Amino acid sequence: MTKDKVKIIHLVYSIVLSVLCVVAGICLIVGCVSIYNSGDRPFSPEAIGEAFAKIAVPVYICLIFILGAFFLNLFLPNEEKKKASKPDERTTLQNLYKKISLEYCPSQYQAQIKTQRTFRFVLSIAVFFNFAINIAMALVHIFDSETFAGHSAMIDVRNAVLVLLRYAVVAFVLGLVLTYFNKYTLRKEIDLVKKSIAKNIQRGDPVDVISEQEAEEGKFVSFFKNHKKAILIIARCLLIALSVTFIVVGIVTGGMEDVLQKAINICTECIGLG
Amino acid sequence: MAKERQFKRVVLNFYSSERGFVYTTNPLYSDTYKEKELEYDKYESNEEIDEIENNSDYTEENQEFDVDTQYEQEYVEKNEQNEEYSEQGDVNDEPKEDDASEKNSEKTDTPPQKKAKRSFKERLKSLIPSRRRIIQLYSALLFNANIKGYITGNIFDGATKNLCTPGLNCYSCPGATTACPLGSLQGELNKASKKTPMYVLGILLLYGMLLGRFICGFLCPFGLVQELFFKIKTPKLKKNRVTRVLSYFKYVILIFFVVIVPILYGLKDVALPAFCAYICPAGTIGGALGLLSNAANEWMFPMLGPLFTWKFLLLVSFVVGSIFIYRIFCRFICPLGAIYGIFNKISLFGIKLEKPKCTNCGLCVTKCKMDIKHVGDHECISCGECIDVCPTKAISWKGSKIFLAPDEIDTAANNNNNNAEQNTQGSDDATKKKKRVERRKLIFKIVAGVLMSALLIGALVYYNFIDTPTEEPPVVDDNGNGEGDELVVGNEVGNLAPDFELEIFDANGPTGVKFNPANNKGKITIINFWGTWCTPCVEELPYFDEIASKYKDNVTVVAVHTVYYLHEPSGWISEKYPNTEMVFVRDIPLEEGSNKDMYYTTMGGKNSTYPMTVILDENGVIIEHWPYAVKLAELEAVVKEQLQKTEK
Repeated sequence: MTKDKVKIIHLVYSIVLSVLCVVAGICLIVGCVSIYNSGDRPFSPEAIGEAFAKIAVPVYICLIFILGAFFLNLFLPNEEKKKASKPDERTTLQNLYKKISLEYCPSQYQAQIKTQRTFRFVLSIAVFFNFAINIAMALVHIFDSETFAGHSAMIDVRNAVLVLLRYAVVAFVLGLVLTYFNKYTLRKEIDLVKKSIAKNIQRGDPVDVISEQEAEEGKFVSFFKNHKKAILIIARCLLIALSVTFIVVGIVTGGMEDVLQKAINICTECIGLG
Repeated sequence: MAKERQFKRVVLNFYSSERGFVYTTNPLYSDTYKEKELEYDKYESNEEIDEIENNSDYTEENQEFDVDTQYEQEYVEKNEQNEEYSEQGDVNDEPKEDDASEKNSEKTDTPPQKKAKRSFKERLKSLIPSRRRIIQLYSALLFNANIKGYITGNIFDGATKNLCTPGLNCYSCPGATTACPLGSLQGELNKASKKTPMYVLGILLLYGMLLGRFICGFLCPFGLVQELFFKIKTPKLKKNRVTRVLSYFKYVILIFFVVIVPILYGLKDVALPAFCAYICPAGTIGGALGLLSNAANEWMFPMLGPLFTWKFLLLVSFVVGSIFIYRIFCRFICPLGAIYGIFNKISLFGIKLEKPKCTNCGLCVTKCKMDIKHVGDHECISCGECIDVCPTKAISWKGSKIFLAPDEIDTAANNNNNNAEQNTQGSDDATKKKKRVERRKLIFKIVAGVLMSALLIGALVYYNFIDTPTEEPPVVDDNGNGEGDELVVGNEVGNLAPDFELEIFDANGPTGVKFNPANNKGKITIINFWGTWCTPCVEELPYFDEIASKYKDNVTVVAVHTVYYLHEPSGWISEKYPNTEMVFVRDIPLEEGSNKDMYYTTMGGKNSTYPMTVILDENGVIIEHWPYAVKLAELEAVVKEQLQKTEK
């Protein structure tokens, strides 16, 4: 069989399989919700078994297809290579700045690069403040005495989550905006740095300035860099000693027994039984 | 001359293009680059450059040259070759070191060649699980070594449950031999107002410092489940900017569900491990479904309700999601991963990047399925897939040189690189060193294998054959003080409740007065088994209080507190129910030092599942037995019905 045919077979099979997986998932969810909505209480294994028997066919078909995929891959493998993807903008820019530092860029590009950086900085600050406001508002809601004052913890937590979700969505959208804006400005900066490198090479101006950049590092940074290993070892030792101390104190104060007590008694609500 | 100019233009612009940069800085492509550079150097003079500037049609707008010629194609081919390795890696995640070094030599020394079609034997061979998969399966089995629990439907209640597993593994799973760190943390934070959760924090800190998110990649059973679902061959949603932003969502979950809600409810003396209760799919799959799937736990079905529906829905969503998105739960939801991620950079074990060797080619980040920005950051689960794709071998395991002498490190590195040149130049000394390193590696592997096997076998034998349940419920005396000969003393509906004495306690502690339900004849007796740590128990207690005060002439409510609880419930009761009509008693241990309640077990309690309510009629006969939380209406209906019957 030709490579293209194999590729098409695999593509079609994978699409069918993914549709079946989604259908099986939906069937399971619908089955569970319909059992709950049926109002037949209390639940019994027989009633649940009956309800799930109705959705068994798509689930079994899905399982058969999953098994089929295994054999398809074994007997008719798709040897197609994946296309390589480029490194992201930040890495690319990092690479480019290894060749040229900002002060060696031609002045017209330097100004443009600085503008892009300013845009990024301003937006980051704006998003940061928005995050801070979001967090503050969320905390105000959480620590409001009314939030968890109801009788049912489940309903209280659900209501709190619904309110907090708004803040989370706003934060998520802001995060996305920041990411995409960064991508846009970084690409512009990449173009400008590339142009600068090309121009400098043509003019014979210096481009390799890594050593100069390193020489400009502050005392604290260079101290940290020189003693990085030692600092890391000390930090590790301290943290491990701290953790061991915590454990010992915890055992003495009965923390270990608390864990045991929680672990050997089933809290039915904790595992979602109800 | 025109050709030469064109060549120089290409070199100039290729030099400045982003791929060209990678190409030139990457040792993989350095040979080709060096050749070109030498030729380029021939023309390097100011006059020449001026001439080019004057004569060429180079403009800034037109600066994108034909880079997609020889160099570009070559780069892409090389890159594809790397991808190809990683594709094989998908099937057999971690190729053996020797194979990797062979591939590496192929990468560095031979021109890119199209990979020959794999034979059926090779394909079958690729189905052998990788080292990482074996470790994942091993740890899943080790943490769930109580196989007999799946058969009997009971959870393990031995001493090792006071230790926490590193990964997410529900302690209510019938097979679980240890506690879940996240559940324990929430349990401890519930009591944070009374006691600092030192023990669990110490354990999390220790695990984080030792292993970081290596735990997620190698030791977490739920991570394994997700990875197995991801193996299903369907189109996959790759990581992108949206998933990267979403990956921070797990910190929100950590702060709200694991820290804030348990602490706030703890202040109200209500134990609510919010993450376990409302989100954790590991609890649903291991705990709830693990218990429900056993016929012995049929009695649990009546307690299923909206919470189980929600959690089942969530579980199915995660399972279906993990078919299309790599480790969907770990990346966006898991608070345990969020905690370990904090320690990832400083943990003793995991992945490390040697910056001087790194060329920023980005292959590692491209290969990784997690939302990492660089190797070893808070999202990295240390799966080790990037080690094989790194062209400069800048990525390695932390502590991989721990068993090597200083003079052997280079030998080991050469072993990994397996350069043809180095092989030919290898002196006797180098060969000896190499052999020594290899031998040590082999010994290490054998010792580790033997120890791990011994540990697993030991655990399986201990949990399934040695640590057998000794705590059988006491035999109920059939000739108890039943009124009619036809009544059997037992713990089922219709049986006569067994005779039992429990000490009453009040706000000041034990009173010395005993309560015997069998002596309470003439009144309806409601016996509620509860614990201050149990959320549904605490939530339903006001119902019993209401019934006790409303029907105080006809009904006695006995609240039996579980035996094992360090926090003395007397203070809690005096604070919450200072003027209650309920009678508070405390259960007694089944055996000395036991954590199981004798009266609870006698009355038909199974698996330490709380709350449980038993209602006795005026003659001490059991008329209701609810092994789950009840509603006020339900309770009142039974009481009213019984009172009507008595009146008649």
